[in-house]
Amino acid sequence: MINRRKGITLWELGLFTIFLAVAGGASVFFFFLNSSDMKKAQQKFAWVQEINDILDEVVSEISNSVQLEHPFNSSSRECFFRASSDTGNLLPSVFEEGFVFTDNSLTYVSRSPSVASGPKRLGRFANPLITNCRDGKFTRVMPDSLEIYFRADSPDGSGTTREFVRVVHLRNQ
Amino acid sequence: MPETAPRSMFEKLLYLGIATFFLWPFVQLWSVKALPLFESDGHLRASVALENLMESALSRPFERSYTSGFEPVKGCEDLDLMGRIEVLVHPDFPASVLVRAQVRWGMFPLVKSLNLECLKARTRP
Repeated sequence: MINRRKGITLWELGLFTIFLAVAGGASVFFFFLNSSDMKKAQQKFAWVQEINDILDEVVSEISNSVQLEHPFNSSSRECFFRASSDTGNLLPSVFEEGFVFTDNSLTYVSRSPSVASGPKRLGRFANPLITNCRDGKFTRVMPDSLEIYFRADSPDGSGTTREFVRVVHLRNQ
Repeated sequence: MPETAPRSMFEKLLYLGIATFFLWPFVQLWSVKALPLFESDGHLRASVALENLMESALSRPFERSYTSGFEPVKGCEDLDLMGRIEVLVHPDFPASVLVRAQVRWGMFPLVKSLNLECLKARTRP
């Protein structure tokens, strides 16, 4: 009988191989996570998410407006509405708030008899709300439904264009 | 004499330590939800499409019961995003209707879906 030394068993060899494969795969994967491609993708995602956060605010502002005044039946680059006041009573129709696509940006404006079109702040977002956006329009698709559409260019200059479409249910129409 | 002697407790603990050392980064990735399994951009687009679907469902004329089949969502054809609207009487409050929007995308074993529900009363305040 051959007196063998206590060696490595078969399952230990398998385990070692698995660990080696996992370690190799993990190092490749972490290099990929650190790569510039991944950073670009993360920046693009953050940009899209920022625009969507702003659009959430815009949609909630328009959908809770007391009366939508401007795009009555077709599409327009402007949207004006009578906002509800903090006390709940309706302001006179000369006080209007709105969103305007001008100079490749989306701006929140208010108009009153004294001030023509004063820039205003929307929540935590400052004017202009969105920059580098083209073909922006508000379309009244139904009496109680408005569609916001625009195309935005990525700020990193890579030429990436993304379409944003939002449907707003006008709850008070 | 047996060919191999069983490993001692110390050696088994050593294996456990090595396994933890190798697998711990993946546990961390799992906890921050950064695994590439979650396709974040597609998820974001699907959630926006779901909101749009819900808003258009709320804009529809009042109906007590309506179910559409899964239809492709416009603008998200590359994701194969399918959306559905359901309107049904609320089981507990018969005066209200429940509006449910649903989107789903992905291939069969990895189908992902998102749901949004809204309670709608017949009368407006």
